[in-house]
Amino acid sequence: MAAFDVAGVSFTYPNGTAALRDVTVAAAGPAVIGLIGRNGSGKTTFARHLNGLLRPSRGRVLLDGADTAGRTTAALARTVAYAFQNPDNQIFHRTVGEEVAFGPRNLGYPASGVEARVAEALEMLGLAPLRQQHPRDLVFSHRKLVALASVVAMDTPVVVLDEPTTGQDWEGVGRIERLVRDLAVRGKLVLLITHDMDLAARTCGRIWLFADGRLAADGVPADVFADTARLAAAWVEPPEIMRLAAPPASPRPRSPSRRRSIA
Amino acid sequence: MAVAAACEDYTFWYEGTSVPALASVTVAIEAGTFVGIVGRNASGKSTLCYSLAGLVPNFYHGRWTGRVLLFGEDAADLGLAGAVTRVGFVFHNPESQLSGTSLTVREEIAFGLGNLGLAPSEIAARTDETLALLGLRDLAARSPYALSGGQQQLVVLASVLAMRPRMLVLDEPTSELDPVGTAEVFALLARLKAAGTTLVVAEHKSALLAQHADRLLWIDGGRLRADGTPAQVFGAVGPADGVALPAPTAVARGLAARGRWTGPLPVRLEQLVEGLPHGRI
Amino acid sequence: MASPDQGLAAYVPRPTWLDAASPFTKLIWLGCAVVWAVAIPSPPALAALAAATAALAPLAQVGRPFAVMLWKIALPLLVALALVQGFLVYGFGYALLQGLRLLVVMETAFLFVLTTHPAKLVASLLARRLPNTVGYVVLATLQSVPMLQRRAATILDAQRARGLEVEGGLVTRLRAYLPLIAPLVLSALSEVDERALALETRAFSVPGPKTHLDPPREAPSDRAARWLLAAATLALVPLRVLVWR
Repeated sequence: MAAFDVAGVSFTYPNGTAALRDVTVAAAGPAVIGLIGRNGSGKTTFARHLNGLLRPSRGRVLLDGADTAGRTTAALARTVAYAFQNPDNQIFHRTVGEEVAFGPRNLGYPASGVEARVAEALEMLGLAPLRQQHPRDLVFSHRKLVALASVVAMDTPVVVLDEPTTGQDWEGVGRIERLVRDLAVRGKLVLLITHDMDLAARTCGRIWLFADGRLAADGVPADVFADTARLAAAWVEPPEIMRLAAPPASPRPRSPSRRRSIA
Repeated sequence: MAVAAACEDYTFWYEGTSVPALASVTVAIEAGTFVGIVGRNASGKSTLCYSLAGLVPNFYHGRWTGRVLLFGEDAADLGLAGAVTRVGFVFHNPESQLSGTSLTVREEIAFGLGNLGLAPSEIAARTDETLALLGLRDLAARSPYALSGGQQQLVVLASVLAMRPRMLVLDEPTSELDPVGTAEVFALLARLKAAGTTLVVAEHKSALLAQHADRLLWIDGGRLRADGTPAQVFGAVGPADGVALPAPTAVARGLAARGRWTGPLPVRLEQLVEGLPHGRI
Repeated sequence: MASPDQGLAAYVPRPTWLDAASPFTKLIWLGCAVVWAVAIPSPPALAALAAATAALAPLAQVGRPFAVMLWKIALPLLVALALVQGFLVYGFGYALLQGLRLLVVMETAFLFVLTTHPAKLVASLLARRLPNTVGYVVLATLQSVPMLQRRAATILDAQRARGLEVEGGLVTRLRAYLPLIAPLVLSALSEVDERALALETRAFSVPGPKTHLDPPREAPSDRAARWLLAAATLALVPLRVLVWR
């Protein structure tokens, strides 16, 4: 079970923008945590500290008890796999299978271990039939799934998904939801950075709301999304379904999880 | 009502392909209306957008049967210049749509007007008018690259509107934007609609689209599978069709399956609440 | 090099004579610099020309960005050139000559880019009835460098996050750049696609003369400057034949 512990982390970009201000939070798997907040709120900056893509200006990031300082991103990739938003920024192999194998190979798994992880990742994302295809021959949403598979195949305890459903249609969103649940079932700690509040409400057990570089809220979706004042101050709209829970005509508010039993 | 754009039994194949991207599409877009397009990825939504903007076949080449009429003229006969001066087009990536030649938002909006060869005084007048109309005066002197995604997309819209197109086609304009940016874009679209602009918008955010569009077109596998009010189209869409239903619609469909909802499907929350017996589920 | 605020251009607006000179004049200057660099066979003369050109930077108030471009672009290129040509092929004397030639051209190019507003450059070219495709190529070239830089940084991050080691010895770092090339080229190509579409929607290909919100002004000093540049270039002919062999 992976744990990370972020203590008093602040981060300022070279051009002077303070992107994170004194953030302290900890988490352990298995769990699915949603990171929400408007662009510039610090959620992505925060996530990039977990695998050393960014280093704190102040404060400390501990991964499994050890400080991330002094370890390269590639070394930290053993623990934290980070899936970037644009698949075309990473795909460079000639087949889907080779692309998905890149990550586990870098981590030093033996050939059999690589093969097992690749097969499993392809299965989880429904990509097994496309294994021999050239990624560039696939449509964008499938290339996105290939990029996700290549990160999932690294079989790390922590997985960060950076806006995985941008540009996806309803089916694609469903596939990613299933992926997130499968990862949690396998004991992973999943961090889901997303603008899709309904997705966050459906899949996350915990929500971190970022605003102005600070962690403005940390709780279960029902609580975080019910705090309409705090959401509004953070320029975040609650999930569509929450608005069903509090219209003037309805006698009792209902939480998103209870809504599932109606439909 | 006048027809702004129409497809007449239109089938289109991109160059070098054997499967048509659009098949036998017949639809008429009336002037002054807001028409939304929904459908899964690779359904033909973008091709339909390009066709209604005349970019197919004048920019993206291929072969076709049937025809597309833009303000009464065949789009293929208009050529690229004719198409872009009649129909404005905006797509999902705000940064790629910035010309890269402008240091300020004002210059960015003026870019298209300079390309049209208008006199500098006319360019200045129209730029100021557009900035005022869209409420972007505060951003006029800022670099387009220093803006948020939502603001950039507003600048892109302004740059296209300054050219005074007769119709505006938008292909997933908010897919790269955060909710704030999305709200800004849709607020602008609402104002344009109120001012009588003809709008065609393809989106995955069907709930938001349904709140603004008078009419929805559902494209799937290149075919027009449904054409009607949002309630009608959402009624036709199935769970595996790749189209998200607004929450009130999904709830009502669930209720209808249990025999506890009759009548047209709600698209808005108020419609759902009104239709619930005794105001409770 | 280019701050996010400047986006795609390296242009630094300054109220100097070099900035105010018409883009066309500066383009002529760049062309002349190439001719001079190729025609002059003497390293000391080239060094003097390079020094004189570099001296223009502080005079045009772009000293700092100029130095940054020298450091980040010119220096690595020249070092690579010296290694290849000096060690492996032709000997150091030749490498020095070629290096100085390249330096003169690069310095002029840097000054050109730093003091020329890209839109005004394109407008002045298109006003001279240059075909649209040429104008587009100029635009695309101006746009591409900072864009590729930013994209390369993102791609590198994405690959590092998949366990690609980029920190360490020279060999490790060189090998790390391989997974960069394909995504960089491909994403550059698809972005070019999108940009081409965007330019079309702004009537870039609509026939007819193009204008600009703030058209570039031709001053009498511009014509004089162009004559001077032409004269200096022509003066090289006797110099080359008689003085330098």
